[in-house]
Amino acid sequence: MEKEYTKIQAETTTKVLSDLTSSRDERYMLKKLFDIWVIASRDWLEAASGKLYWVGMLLGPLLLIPFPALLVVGVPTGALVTLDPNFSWNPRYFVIDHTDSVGEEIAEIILRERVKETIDFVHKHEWITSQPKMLQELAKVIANENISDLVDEIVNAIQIQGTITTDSANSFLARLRAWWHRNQEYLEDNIPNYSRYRELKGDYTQRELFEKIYLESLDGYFVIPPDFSSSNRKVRFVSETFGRGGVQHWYEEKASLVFGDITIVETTIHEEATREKPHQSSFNISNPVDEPSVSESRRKEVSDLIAKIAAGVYLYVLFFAVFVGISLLLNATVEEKSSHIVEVILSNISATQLMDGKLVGAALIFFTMAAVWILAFSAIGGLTSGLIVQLMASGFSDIMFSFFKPTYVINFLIYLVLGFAFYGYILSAFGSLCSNIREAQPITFVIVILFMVAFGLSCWIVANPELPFIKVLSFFPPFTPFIMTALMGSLPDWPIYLLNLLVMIAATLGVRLLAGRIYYRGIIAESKPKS
Amino acid sequence: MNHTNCVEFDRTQKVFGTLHALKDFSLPIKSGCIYGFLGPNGAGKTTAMRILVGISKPTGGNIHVFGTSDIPSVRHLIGYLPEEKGLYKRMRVLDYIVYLGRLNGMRKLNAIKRAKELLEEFELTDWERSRCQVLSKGLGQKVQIVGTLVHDPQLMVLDEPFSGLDPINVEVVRKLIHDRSKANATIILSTHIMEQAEVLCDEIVLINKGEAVLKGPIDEVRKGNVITIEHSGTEEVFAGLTQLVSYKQISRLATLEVTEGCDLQELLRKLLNRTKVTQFNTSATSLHEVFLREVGKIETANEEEKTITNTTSQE
Repeated sequence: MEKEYTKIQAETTTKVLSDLTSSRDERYMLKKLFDIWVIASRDWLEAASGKLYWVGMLLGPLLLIPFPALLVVGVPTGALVTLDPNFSWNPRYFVIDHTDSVGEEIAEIILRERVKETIDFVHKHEWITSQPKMLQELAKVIANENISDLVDEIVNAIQIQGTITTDSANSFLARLRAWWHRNQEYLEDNIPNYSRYRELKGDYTQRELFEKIYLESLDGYFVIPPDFSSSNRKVRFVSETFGRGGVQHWYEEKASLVFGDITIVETTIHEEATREKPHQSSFNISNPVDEPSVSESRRKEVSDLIAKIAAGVYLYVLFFAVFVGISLLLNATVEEKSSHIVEVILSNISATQLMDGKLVGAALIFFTMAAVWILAFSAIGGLTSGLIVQLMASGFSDIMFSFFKPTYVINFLIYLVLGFAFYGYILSAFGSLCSNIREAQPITFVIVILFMVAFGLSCWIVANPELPFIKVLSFFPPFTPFIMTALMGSLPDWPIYLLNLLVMIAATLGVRLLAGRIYYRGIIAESKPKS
Repeated sequence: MNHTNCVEFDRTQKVFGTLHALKDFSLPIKSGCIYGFLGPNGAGKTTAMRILVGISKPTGGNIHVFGTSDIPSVRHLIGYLPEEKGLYKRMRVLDYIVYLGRLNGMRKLNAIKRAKELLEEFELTDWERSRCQVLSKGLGQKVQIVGTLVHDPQLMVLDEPFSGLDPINVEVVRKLIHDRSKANATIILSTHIMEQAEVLCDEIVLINKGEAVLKGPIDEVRKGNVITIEHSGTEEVFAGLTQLVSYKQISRLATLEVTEGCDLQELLRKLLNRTKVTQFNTSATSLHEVFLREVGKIETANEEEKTITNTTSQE
């Protein structure tokens, strides 16, 4: 009887062994991946079935608001300042003059007023020795000339178009003209009643003007129609939304000085987009002499600006995703350990698989949340105002395309995954050493500080991508994901990029290996063998 | 590796820093048997089990499970119930069991079907939609046992499976062990309750300080050359008896280890001349006694060794 029993056992074992050896290698890898997926999906389902998850989902957008606000104020400003040394907070306007003369006449009256204000100021304050040399020189000229004639001369000099000859460059008026264009900010700050509104000069298409309005480098533009004289002197003012009254009223006042009563009609860019587009050739091109007007350079300027803003946005999303993701991961790891179930799990899968599964689970939890937010915001935007349709019609799609350039998206996704994995593995390892969240806090604090330094540095890099040490710093793995995202508008050449990527991948794998060992020891330390 | 052996420890060692948790631990475990790991706390039972299920790796030596030393590749054939028991508090009972089934490579539908069968068998059907946090300790333990069984493992490793269970559930688990054994599964269990081991196990190993000090089929282990007597005298009455290898007395009860082929009648006669014997028991020793004897032997030997070492060092 016993022999029979033993025979049955032997047969069973042999069968098991033969089952095992057949196609074991092929199934082994798939099984590993499947296990990771099972762990991840459990974590995801458990989180999604909890009330706290949904509370977090509702409150999440509130947390999101401060950062974009900083971004809107910080990054574009930094970018604008970097792009345009003459940038200031002065409202800017543009004039499309279909009459070829009205705009020039209004511009001349504005200039004349400014010159007059300047001369009055210099005349009254000639004793101030701290004034710029040019104004001190002007004070001497004023003493010897008739002020009315001098105003005419200066206005004519400033309005001169074309390059300056050597002789004229040496003359007082030529120097004053050059100084004038360079020191508008000084004049605005120091000359009383000197208007701060600046006319943007150049050759722009309607789309470029829209872009500038979107990017808030332009408040709006005036359109002087060809039938200005016969249409009760109506001028259109085009802006993003109604209520940009300051520049509009100011321009109306100045134009009325030349043409008597005129009417400025407000219109939005969305309405303007549906209007018949004016012919490019009818634009008034009134270039300031010192400023080369090349549409291509302007386009590049806008493109660079969008790239920087995009980098800022992507950087913020990266920071938020990694930060939230690894916090979820830390909680999941500590929970796993404190539930005392880990020994059962580790009898089925390896510690590294468990760690990988938790990482993927945390990513799923975060991206579900993000997907819900995106869908909700899109639905609200679409339902409330039909905004998307209007924006698409007004060239917004081009801006969006610039935001979602394939290179940006791919670069972002690569470093999102690597950054998430890199920091996730580190947090998992540390989390496994802690028995509860309170114990984990000091460790989390250190990692978050490192994290914040990387983020802060990268925000600065967005506005200053050309600094030489950045390339070196980008090879430091804790900073790499953030710096490479910040640099998305001016990524290094592909060999450097590839090297950078390889270093980051190697570092992530290295951290995974090390974290796996720490995780294994940490996670079963709670239930160490007693017998 | 003998293919009739489901598990084979081959001079397995495990060292934690300076602690030798397992020292040259060799043990074949036949397929289909119920094998008991006995030993005092800290003996190395859990360490051996962890190595067996692949949670720990041996520091030295080998271990073969189902003929392979690549334990991860046979994990799905093993069901493990650790001593430290826990559940995911917020997870539902059925989901938890299905989860473990899936980790063992089961398809979801199969895992659900099997989990429901087992829940019914263990009278847990009413709890299948409950979250684990509402379960009592005993119910929680039953759920964990079901989790261990869901993938119908060929080898079950149960570390202290009876701890925390009430007598009714103890019977449930005993029945389960018998049933699985009848279904050709190999069961390895550790326990401090010697009576359980006596009733359940086909074979046992007594582990102390990382070494297998006694192993074999339970009847052989219990047989031994040991007799117990109850008498009115002191331990001194055993002095000079050549039939005795060792003796130990607690109160009026003495345990005597006799020489191989000893004439028990002759021994009894000699004892009756020296003391008043009220009981002379030659029946098989209980595991409890075996445990005390074997562990006691080692303790005594260790103490003697210590004394000799101390004396030598003083000299």
